[in-house]
Amino acid sequence: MSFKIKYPALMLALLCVAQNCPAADDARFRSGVAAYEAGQYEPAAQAFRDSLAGQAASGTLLNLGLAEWRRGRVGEAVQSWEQAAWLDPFNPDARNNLSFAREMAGVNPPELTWYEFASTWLPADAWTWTAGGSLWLALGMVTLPGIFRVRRAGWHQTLAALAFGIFIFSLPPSVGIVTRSKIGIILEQNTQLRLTPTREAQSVDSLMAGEPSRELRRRGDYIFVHTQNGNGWVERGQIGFICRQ
Amino acid sequence: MNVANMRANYFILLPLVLCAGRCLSAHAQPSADQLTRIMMSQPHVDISATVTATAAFDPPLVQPGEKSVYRVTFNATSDASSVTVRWPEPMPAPSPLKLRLTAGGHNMQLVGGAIQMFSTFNYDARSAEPGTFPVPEYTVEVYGKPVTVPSAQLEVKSELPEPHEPARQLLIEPSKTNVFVGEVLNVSVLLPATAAGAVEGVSEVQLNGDSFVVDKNAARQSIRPMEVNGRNMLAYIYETSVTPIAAGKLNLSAQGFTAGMNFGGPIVITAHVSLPGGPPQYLLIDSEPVTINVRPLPMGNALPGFTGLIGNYTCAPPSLDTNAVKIGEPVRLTVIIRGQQNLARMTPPPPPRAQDWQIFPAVRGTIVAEAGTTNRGASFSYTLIPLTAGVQTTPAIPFSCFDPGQSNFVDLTIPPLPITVVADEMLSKPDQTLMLSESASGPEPKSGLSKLAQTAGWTAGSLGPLQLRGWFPLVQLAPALGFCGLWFWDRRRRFLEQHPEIVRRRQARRALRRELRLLEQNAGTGDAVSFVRHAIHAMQVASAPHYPAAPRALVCGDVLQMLTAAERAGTAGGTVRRFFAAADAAAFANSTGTQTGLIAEKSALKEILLKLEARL
Repeated sequence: MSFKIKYPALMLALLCVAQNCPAADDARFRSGVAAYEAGQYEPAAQAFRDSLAGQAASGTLLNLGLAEWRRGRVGEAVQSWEQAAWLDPFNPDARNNLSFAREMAGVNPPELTWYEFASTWLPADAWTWTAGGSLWLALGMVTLPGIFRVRRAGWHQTLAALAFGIFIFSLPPSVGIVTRSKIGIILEQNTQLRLTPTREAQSVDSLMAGEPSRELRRRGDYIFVHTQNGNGWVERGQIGFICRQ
Repeated sequence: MNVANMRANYFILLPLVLCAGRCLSAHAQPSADQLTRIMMSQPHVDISATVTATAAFDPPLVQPGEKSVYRVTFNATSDASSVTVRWPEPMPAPSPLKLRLTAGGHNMQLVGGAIQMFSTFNYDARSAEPGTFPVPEYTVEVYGKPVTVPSAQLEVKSELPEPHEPARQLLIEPSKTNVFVGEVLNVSVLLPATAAGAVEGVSEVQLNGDSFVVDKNAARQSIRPMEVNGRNMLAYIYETSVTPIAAGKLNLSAQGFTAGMNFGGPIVITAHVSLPGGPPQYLLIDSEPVTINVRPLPMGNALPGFTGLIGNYTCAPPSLDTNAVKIGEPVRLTVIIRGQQNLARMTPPPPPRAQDWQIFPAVRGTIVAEAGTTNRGASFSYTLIPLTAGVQTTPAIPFSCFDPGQSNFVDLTIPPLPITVVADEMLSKPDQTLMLSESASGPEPKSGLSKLAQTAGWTAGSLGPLQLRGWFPLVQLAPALGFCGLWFWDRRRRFLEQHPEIVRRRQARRALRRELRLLEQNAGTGDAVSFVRHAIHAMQVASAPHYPAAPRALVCGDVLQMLTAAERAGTAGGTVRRFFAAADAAAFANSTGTQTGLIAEKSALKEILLKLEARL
């Protein structure tokens, strides 16, 4: 391959890497903060969104929610703060902002089952790693001493029981994480909840921006959702999921 | 009181109670005899009369292009859409006379002490050319039976004798002709006085048009002077309000029966009026349609809480029963929406969902008016129950209306009101009074939004659950495979511990292959001494697992035992003996001469070693 062909290819690859490198994300985050503090909320939101293209970050999501809220986009703001809380449930700012936004918008938080509520205690990935790690630790503590002909000690069994208990405890939240990933936020004000997945469908109800809904199934450009007002179809673009899919 | 006395009292009281009950029920509702008397006093409805038809042009003499009404009347009920009256298709009208059905109506008239039902159909009849146009006799089907409609004749002349009486018709005057869907507009239906100055009432007024809802409760009638076609004249006016429920250019027309001075209800007369006497002549008259341009609402700009309210409204400051309650105690929030139109039909906003409140749907109150003003308003109230302590305000209730004047939505959101919610302690009355006396306008709820995060915070490659990512099952499979491998390894190890001969034979095969390689090397270099030594060792290694014994402990006889009797007696046995003999000679007699020739027996030796390997 000649140098003339190699060089542009190399530059393109470097550019692609640079686009997603942490330094570039950090620069976009800083520019977003600067724009927000200057009162330019739309460029700020765009900068935070670009920063999130590389990897999701709880602080960036929190700031994106603030910028969207200042732009009057309640649905997007609630979605961003939900995502921030999904990543970092220990972040009090995301929870407070969600509570405030819901009170102002007059919408309720999602209705969570007990195992979904338990899944909010730790970051989403932590439950899964905990379940997987504790299972293999328990199995290892039970089987490995025999295999390696090490005399079984009391602490082996204690550790195995403890790990198995943690595994059992972390199973429901792990299921809750999966079911919570079906929760979406209505993005547009007065979103029509339709009776059928068609453009001419009869409207069952009108949903407010920021209102939570739960995906039940999909058909074409429509999603059948369960809301606190009942079930119906909404257009795919009118709902934003906490887990981008 | 003993038991006997109680029984006696019971039997006296029971008939009294029964009689009183019968008397009360007799006062509460009329008896069957009274109902029969009322029914019998009413004139009966004659449905047995033979159905006949009349037809006439009104007026019978017109100018070219002028409207005349071809009116057909049956003494039978019918449906305006001619379900039970089957008209001939097409109507037998001579050319160029054009007939167009414009109205159809029913009324009841007292004829000879009995009520008869009449159905009338109006046709707009016009001819562009002068002439005499007879509509011949024709037959229609009424109630499935043929009924003959008599002939009628219209005369059209260019020059008419004075005075000329035009066709009587209604006029319809909407208050607006450019409205939004759902916007209420007032409509006046006018019947001008006749040329003689007589004013007649109109009964059975009906507004025709698709996609209009007529509010008959808002109807009122009057007689007053009006300017009609540039002339001041008296007119009977029927006013009501209609609401368009679809967008587009919609036609609205009116019809009704002339009713003489039978107005059928209260009427306001504000002029000197000449009312016709005698029984009324019930003539079906109608109006030319007017076009109303109905625009759709810009729902893209709709504000929260829009329930279809259209007009100019304001939200008066709401009020609470009390501003201090305990958790679970209901408190009533009263709201008044002021405006001039449609107050009775106003739909209150639905209660919002609030985390700290249970809110019941609004209950409609009365229409209220400020003293000495015409500023009216519709009141409704919500019942709110606080669910948590520490709540400082009631929730804002989103509400909005569409103002046609501004062509935009107007925010009427019911603002939050300050309130104190306490958990357990009982509020004494003085406390409540003290709190009520405080200013109703408390501080605005401060913004609960956080400040900007200065760091990106916790990061993740994706927000999707780990369980749903493709690589996660593979990662979980790795420890499983590791555990399986360890388990198989342990099983095999235990098996070999119980069967050590397998290990010995495997080791022997490995050692034999190593000795064979050395044999080949020694044969290649011509090193007879090493060749013999490795040959002996190879045979010992291949035979040792059968005893079992250390390979170096075996002698020639032990190796020979591994061969069959025929092999021992044959060349193989001889080869083995020669190799051992040469090795013994070299070891004990220090003679290496006998080993030199043994390299030539390499192929025979390899054959023996292959046989021994096969028996391992």
